[in-house]
Order: sequence, then C-alpha cells, then structure tokens
Amino acid sequence: MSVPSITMENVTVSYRRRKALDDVSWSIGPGRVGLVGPNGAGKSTLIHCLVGLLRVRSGRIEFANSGASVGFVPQKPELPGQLRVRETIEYCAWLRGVPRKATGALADDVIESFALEEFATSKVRALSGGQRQRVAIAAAVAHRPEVLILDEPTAGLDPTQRLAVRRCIKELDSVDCVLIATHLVEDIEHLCSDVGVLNRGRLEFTGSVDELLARAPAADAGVHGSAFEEAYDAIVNGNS
Amino acid sequence: MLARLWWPYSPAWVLGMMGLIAVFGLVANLPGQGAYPWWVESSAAPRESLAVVALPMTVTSALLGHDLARRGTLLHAAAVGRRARQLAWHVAVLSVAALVGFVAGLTPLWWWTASSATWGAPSIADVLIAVAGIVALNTVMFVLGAMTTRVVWSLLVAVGGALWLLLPIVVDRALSVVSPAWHWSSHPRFSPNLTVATYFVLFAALVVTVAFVWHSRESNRAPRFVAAGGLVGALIMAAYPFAWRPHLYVHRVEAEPTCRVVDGVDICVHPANEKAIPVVGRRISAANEAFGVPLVESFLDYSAADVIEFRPGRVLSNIYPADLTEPLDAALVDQASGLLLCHEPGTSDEENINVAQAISARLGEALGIGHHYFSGTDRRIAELVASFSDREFVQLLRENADQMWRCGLTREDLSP
Repeated sequence: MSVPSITMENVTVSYRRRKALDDVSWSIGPGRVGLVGPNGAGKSTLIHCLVGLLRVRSGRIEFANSGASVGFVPQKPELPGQLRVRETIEYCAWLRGVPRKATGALADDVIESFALEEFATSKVRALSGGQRQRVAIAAAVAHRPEVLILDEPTAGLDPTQRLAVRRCIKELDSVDCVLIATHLVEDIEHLCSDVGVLNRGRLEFTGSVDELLARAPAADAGVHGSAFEEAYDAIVNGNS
Repeated sequence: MLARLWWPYSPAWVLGMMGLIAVFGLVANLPGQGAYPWWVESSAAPRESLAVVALPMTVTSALLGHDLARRGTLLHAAAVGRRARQLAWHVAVLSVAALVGFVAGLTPLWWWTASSATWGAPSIADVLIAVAGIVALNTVMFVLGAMTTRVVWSLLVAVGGALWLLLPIVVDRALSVVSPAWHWSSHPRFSPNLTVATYFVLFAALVVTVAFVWHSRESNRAPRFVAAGGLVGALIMAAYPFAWRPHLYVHRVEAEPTCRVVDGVDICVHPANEKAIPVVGRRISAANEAFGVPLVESFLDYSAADVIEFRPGRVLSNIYPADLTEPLDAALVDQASGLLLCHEPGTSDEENINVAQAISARLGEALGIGHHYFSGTDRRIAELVASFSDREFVQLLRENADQMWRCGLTREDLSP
C-alpha cells in the first residue's frame, strides 16, 4: 500500500462561531483525487489550509515529504494580461522560489508537455478562457510541485474547453498527487480515482469513485441524472 | 527582457508612474527659486518636495500592491505571506522606478544650480532623507495595498496616504517626522538630520510588520498579543517624534567658521562659503576706500552666526552665491552707517534715525549704489550732509565713528 501524499487529522477551522471545517480526517493520494460538495461546504477553506493561506485552528496536516512543494490554481486565476505565456510561466516559477536563471528551461519543459508552443509568445489577454486555464495549470506546475491543487478548474468553460483542460490534467505525469475541488461531478467521473464529499464542513464520504457510485439509490439510477449525481445527492441530502 | 525586470507590472503602469512623479517633481520645484538658484535651497528640494512627489506614488503603489496580491492572482496563489523575498522585489522595483522619476523631475533644477551657483554643494543628508522617504512611503503604501482584500479598501488606503501627506504640518512640525512633509526647513531653528531617514525606515518596517500580522490574523498565524504588540509599537513610533523632537531635529548646522584677514579686515564665513572670501574682501576694501575711513573692521557670514547681533565695525551679511556685490554693498552701507542699529527698540529717536539715513545715503553714493537714497523724514538733515565736502564728511566719520555705529548722532553733531 502506497503512502498517502497528504494526511489530514481532525482538522477544524472556525470563522468566529461558525465551523468551516469540522474535525476533518482524510488521507489523499497519490493519484488524482476529487473533492466535491455544495457551495459553502468548506472546499475553499480546506484548500486554503492545504496551500498555506490558512492555518488550521486544531488538528494537523502532513505531506508525505515534509518539504513538499504545492502548486495551486485558484478558482478564478487572474493572470497578468500583458505578459506572454512563457513569461507568465517563468514568473510563476520565480514566485515559487525557482532562481531566475533556471526559470527559462522549466518554462520550455512545461510549454512542451502542455502543448502550448503555439501560444508561447502570445500575450495572456489574447487567449480564450480554456487556454488561460491551461496556462494557469502549466504555471502552477512549472516549479515541479509534488502536490497540485485545483479549485474548480473547469468552471465557466464551454464543453470543448472543459475537455481540453481535463486532457491537460490527465497528462500531469510529473505530479505525485492532484486534488481537484469541483462542484461538477463530471470532472470527478472523468479525472479521479478517489473522491471525498464535503458537506457543511464535515467530510461525509471518502473512497473510490466506484464506492461512491454504489451509494446511488437503485430506484432512481439514471432517471434524473447520472448515477454519480444520484449518489452525491444521497450523501449530501440524505435522499436514498 | 524589460518585462522580466518589472514583471508582472504593465510597462505602461511603471512608466506612467515614473512620468507622473517626474512631472510632479518638476512642477514642485519650479516656483520658489529666485533669479539665481542657490545650493542651500536646491539641495533641500528633494525632501522639501517629497510630499508633492509622493502624491501620485501613494495612489499607484497602493493600487499596484492590491492588483498584484489580491485573491486569485499568481502571487496570492503562491501564498503571499511566505513570499516575502518576492514581495520585496516588487516593492524594490517600484521604489527604483519612483526614484528614477523623482531624479528626472529634479534634474533641471540641479542642472541649473550646478551651472549657475558659484559655491555650495548638495547635502548628502537632504538626498538620503528624500530617498528614505520615497522608499519608506512606497513600501508602506504597496504593502497596505497588497493586504487589502477589496479594491475599495486599497483606494481608501491610497486616498488616506495622500491626505496624510497634505496634513497641515504647521500644526506641529513633529508630524513631519512621520510624514514626508512640507516646509521642513522653513523653521529658523530646526532642520532635519539623518535620524529622520533612519526613522522613516524603522517606521516603514513597523507598519509593514503590523500589516502582515493583521493580514494573517484570520489564518491564525499570529497570536493576538503579537498583533496588539505591533499596534502598540506603531503608536509609540508615531508618538515618539512629538515627545522627543530634539532627538530628531538638530539646531541649524553649526560649523566652525573659516576666517581670514584680507587688507586688515577679519572675514569669517561658513566653510561652505569659503570661496566667497576673496570677493567679500575685495568689496570691503573697495568700500573702506570709498568711505575714506576704514569703517568696516570685520565681516561675519550670516550662515556661520549663532546669534544675530549687530556690532560696531562688524558687518553681518548673507553670502549670495550668484551675485554677491549688490546685496553686500547694501549691507556694508547700512551697517557701517549704524542704520540697522537704529531699528533696535529704545536705542534711538527720530532725529538719530534721520542722521543715520543721511549718512547711509552719502556712503551709498560714495560706493556707487544709485538706489541708496535718503528715505528719512527730515530732508534738511539730508541736505546738510550732502552739502559736506568729501574732506568734511570723512572728518565727520573719523571723529564720530563710535557714536555713529550706535545710531547716536544728532543734528547738533553735524554742525562744524
């Protein structure tokens, strides 16, 4: 059995009196893992704890490698429009502590792996939403992180762009663990092997996608939505 | 390549900021200069115009800081609090841009001064205070802008910074220590020293620390007592200049005067004005010769004087770098005739003043100062003095020099 990339134990975070995360324990990765939940479930809080923007009030978070570097693509990544794609990736690598001299070679590698050659010299503001999202992901992995966290990576994209971004995520071979937070269950179905369902700050389910599908009520399967959606609804709203 | 230097700012923003600062610096230093630039004023120009120049900077720094670090940007994604080095680079780039713009704005004034002023030099303290002020203000505004979560807050920070700079410093000059303020040097007694530059840096460091602590309060990175400690520290720093102003300001720079004897006259000037000694010596010799009596026995540069005190036989005057001749001649005539002492309260009556005026006019005529005419109230006294032959006038001066220097001559003394 492989060592989890991230281990959370009894993580609790409160905003004033409201608990945004309530005693969350979860072992994630390696591989692509999904995090789903309704709006306000605590997904962003959990992500901010993982990337270090928020410190947990109680409990602990541990990475398999104590000095693990983490890449993060926020929900609406705002890339500097006046920079070219290559400069953006170099800039992001530098922000993550890569020496300036080394950023060029890393950017070349990432541009090649993400098939961004044709946009490499384009300014970011000239790109479509899907292309920008791919650039944001490329920029987030330029410093070769062991863990990559994506917050709603396909939100607001049309189906073609969504497919392109999913393809891009699937080709992330260099990253040990990818955590994808989303409310689009199709992303989980197509990208992830494991999944966690967060609801009102509590982790209601963790397991493989197949185990989640098994939670779908047999009577309604495929009637109003996919089996995944039915299973998710059963966990979040208790409809079984 | 250029983009790598100031990434990820737009070149338009950075160049625009530099241009604005240059224009503000230029405009701030256009008025206030007389016909001739003077190093003492041109040197103080950087710190004196800091408030004006900093106005566009507060706005651009706060907005750029916010734009760079707001939620969703790459810097935010890289976890702002852990990227102090990268954040410092951004601040440094903007500070350098602001300084370049500032220097560009001041270049015409300094060029003019360097090519026109006859003596004096830029003061390193003035320049350092200006540099520290710009860097400190830029850092504070940028970091506060970066810490704000909404653009409206960063705008408020920018406006607050601008208002802070425009505070009426006359209320209490100590405010100028926590703000690159107006009219530092206008006070006759105090002038800022290098401690002010150090203070700027410390103050900026403290504000930045408090901002970081405040920013990370939600993430529970800093216990509340640390935030409270930082806040108390900031308050102490703000109160310090009010309570301990003497530590931050020094008495007008005291310097041992440089003295030399020229044609028997003891001439003492501020070391910065040493080059003026030959000119002063020549004018005094010419004056003593024109007067027919050596009325001027010594000369003291106003800049080297601790106390403004007129003494018999001594002339106290400013050194005017561009054209010393005319104001020096006027000072020689006014003080040699004792006219200036006439304005001391209780020393003289109207008759004494009229006599001093008449002698002063006659001395001015002898020295060739056309406009130095009689401006007293009794024209008969002026006519009497004017009627003296040169020999009689010199005899009057020689016999009554002491009394004249004290503005004590009466009409009776003028009688043969």
